[in-house]
Amino acid sequence: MPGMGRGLPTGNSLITSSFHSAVLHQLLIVLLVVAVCAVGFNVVRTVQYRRLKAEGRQTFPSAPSSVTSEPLARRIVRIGFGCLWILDGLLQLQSGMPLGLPSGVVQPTASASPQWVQHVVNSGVTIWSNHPVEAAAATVWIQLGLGIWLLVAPRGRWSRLGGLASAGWGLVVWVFGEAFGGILAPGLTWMFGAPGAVLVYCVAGILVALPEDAYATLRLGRTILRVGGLFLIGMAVLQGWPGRGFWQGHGGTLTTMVQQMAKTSQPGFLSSWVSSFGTFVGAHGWGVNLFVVISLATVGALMMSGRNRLVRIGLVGFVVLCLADWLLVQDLGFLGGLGTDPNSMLPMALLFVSGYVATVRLPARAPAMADLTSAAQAPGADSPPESRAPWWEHTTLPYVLRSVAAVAALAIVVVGTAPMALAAVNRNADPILTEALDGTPNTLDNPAPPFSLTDQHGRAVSLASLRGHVIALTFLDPVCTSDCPLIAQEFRQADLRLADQSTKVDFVAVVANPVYRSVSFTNAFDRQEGLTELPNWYYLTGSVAALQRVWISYGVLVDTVPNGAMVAHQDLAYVIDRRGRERDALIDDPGPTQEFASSFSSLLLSRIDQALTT
Amino acid sequence: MSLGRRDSRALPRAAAPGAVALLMTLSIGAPGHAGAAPAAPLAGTVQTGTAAWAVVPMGKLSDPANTFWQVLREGPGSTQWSVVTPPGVADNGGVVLGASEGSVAVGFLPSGLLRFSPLSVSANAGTTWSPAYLPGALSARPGALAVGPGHSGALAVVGNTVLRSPPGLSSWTPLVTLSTLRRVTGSPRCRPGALDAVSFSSADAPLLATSCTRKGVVGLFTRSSGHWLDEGVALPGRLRASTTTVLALSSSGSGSIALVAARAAGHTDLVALWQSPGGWRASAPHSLRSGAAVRSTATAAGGAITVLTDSRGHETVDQIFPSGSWNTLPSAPAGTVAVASNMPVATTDAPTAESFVVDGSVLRVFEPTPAGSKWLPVQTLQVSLAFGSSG
Repeated sequence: MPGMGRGLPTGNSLITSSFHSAVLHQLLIVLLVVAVCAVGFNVVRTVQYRRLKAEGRQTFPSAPSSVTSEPLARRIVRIGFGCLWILDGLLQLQSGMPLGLPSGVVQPTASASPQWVQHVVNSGVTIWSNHPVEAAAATVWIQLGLGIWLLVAPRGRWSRLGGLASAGWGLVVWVFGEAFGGILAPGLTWMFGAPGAVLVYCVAGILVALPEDAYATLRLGRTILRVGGLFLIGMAVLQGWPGRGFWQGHGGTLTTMVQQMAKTSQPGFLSSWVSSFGTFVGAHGWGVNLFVVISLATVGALMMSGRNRLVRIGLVGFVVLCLADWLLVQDLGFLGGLGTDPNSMLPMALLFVSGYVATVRLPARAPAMADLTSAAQAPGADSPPESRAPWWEHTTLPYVLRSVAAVAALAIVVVGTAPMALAAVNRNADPILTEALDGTPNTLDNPAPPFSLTDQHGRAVSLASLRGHVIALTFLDPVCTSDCPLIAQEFRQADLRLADQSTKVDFVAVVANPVYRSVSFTNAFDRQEGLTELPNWYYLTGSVAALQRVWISYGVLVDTVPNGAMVAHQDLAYVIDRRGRERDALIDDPGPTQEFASSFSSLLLSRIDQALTT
Repeated sequence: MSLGRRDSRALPRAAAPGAVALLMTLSIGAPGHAGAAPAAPLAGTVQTGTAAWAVVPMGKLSDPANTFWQVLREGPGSTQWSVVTPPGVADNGGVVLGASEGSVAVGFLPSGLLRFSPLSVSANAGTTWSPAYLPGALSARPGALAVGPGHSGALAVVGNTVLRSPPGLSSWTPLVTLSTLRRVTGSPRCRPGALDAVSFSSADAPLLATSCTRKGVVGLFTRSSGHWLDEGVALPGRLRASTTTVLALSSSGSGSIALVAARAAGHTDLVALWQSPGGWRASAPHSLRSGAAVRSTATAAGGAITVLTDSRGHETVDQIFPSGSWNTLPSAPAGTVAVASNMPVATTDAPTAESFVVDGSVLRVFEPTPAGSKWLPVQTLQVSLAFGSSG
């Protein structure tokens, strides 16, 4: 009924089950990919074995004991962020993610940012909102794939490529999912995750993508610590800047943020801790802020000192600070509400730790390459050494295993990316949104009730006169203020999307208002909605008796509501085939505009296509 | 996110005749000069010789989608109001009413996704209504629609154009545009800024009220022998430095009356104007409290004008008669949304006021006691409202 629209709850069963079904289907593809990779591995090893045997060798080449290990700092970043991506991917499996992420996570994050940021974020949100199932499933596989990739490819080109992919995806999430980490919004504070957890993932990805030579000196570690220290000092200045509300207890920025965080649904113990801390901040806001400012500035200064002993003290302090903030302010990040990641504290601590390790644990120098049969001897030895020897003579088992595993991980990322990319190209929303809102169309096979009415040009139009064309029929009030204009736009869009096929289809609306039913009003409605340009659009009216006959025969209840309300009527549409038989009955209640926009036209088009082929 | 696709549309697009479309499109694009004009309240009453008509908002007044405007009628000799709101269209955007002794027309201001104003006409005192089409959106002013007696037809303000229709409101043609009125010479010359109200003079000729870019002048235009006459009224004294807006304009057999808001240096005065054979006569100015806003106006056939003003939640009712001066009535009952000039039962009775108090779907009508010391409830109406029906 007009005006009785409803929203799609994040737990909508159709969307949830479709999401789970999509993930399962993609899981089957992933398993297939793994199986293919396993076969590929076997084939490579078999070929290698036969070639070696033909040369009279009895064993596979093995890695020499002198091969250097991966720099520890790099390993910390790679494994740490690999695990984080996997955790993030698993968090994306939450049922509420397809419908809840835009409205529950992205838009609230962007709401305080400048208009242009919201505009950028909205372009991503629109793609997600139009294709929630594909988008949510894609995110699962992309993040799982990235995580696995980082874990299984420790060295060489595959590993560095994994780092780059991680940084690239992180950037996408930082811009569209975190609204640039909120760095352009007021209230920016390190305590609440500035400059965005995923930006730290990006930095980590870049560190993994660097050549291993970069870890051979102290320079990289010192750079990480100095930049990190400078960042912390900057955050301390922001935290202490007067007028930003952080010095205030009750009603201050920090208290409000913590109290809001405590209100999100989360395990009781966490809520209790965060709430207690909120109360503490409310009572001692000035003192807490002073502690935070001093701590951040001190840790930053220690990090920048360049002296290992001081850096170590700073690092311990920083990790403790991170853990406290993660627990008491960020409520662990993923246990409250629709958590998508463990927030910024863990990644930041990991990054600083790796920076410190890079300054104290330099990798051992690689020995000179002497034995070409021990293939993986150099740093980055997942790539075969440059040699004129055939590959089977120097390719080791770990190299093949890791390469195949990396290919499998890349394939998992592609499994997620491909459907999402296809969906993003389609600017129209998925029909599933309308089905989630209004139910699945009823398939029919009845003779359509006849009608004979007058169109907007004053010409007589009947069901019989339209025979031979597929008809999309609905009921619209020409002076409706809510649903009918939206439904008309969906019909218009469906008509325009038909392109050449539109000559075989007629779009018909019957007036659903016993009072305002003259041609003047149908014409005014057509002009208002831009329908006059459509040659196959018919807005039919007639006497009240004639209209009532049509309403009753098509099961449409029209009720004149007194005292200033619009006429109430059911939002129904029918698809009638060329032989004049009803094929589908669809509810076309637009509900909230955002969900309906272009989704109904997609559903209607699919039904019209079916009717055209019968 | 919003669709955004609707924002780019031109608002009122006209139907036949094409001239209406062209004029309206042009007029929408022409900015008025009265941006600072005080808002004219839609709530109020108008009295013809045979009945009184009221426009009252009801429902959740802080939520436009759940505010339902009601049309009420009080018949001759009756002291009871009845709801006669025309059916078939949502009126959340507000309604504009034009009444004469023979007929009444109600225009619905666009709301939601509707971009034009459906009309409803009744020739039997609101017992039954017939729909009528207006090519465009009515101006959101209480005087934007006028119905003349007999064969005068109707006038409507759409953008910067006044449209005219024959009786029955079957078709509309442009009568005059603001730019045409700007070329009309008169003394004192008004130089119109925006169309404020339309009516029919006692001679059944179109009577238009405009704001004026020239200070201290009230814009009033009549049509005579195919020409427009600027009957602008020069306000006296300190009001010569004020910009003017006509808040209400009505006519009856005894002449036309207008209520003018004159604003200067953030201060507003109300002035009543009565038309007599010798021209227009202005009342003494009535100063509004600082920050006060006019919430409702009421005109009576005998020339009485009643005004409800609101100053920081304090509602005041003031009244003036053609032969009298401004008289402040007791403080209006809490929740008053509109006032009426009560129709006198006998010709010797002086008109008094009524106040309409709304609490959701309950409407209470109050009248001052004969001593004029307080308001007493005289009628309670329970009006069924379809909350949530407009999205």
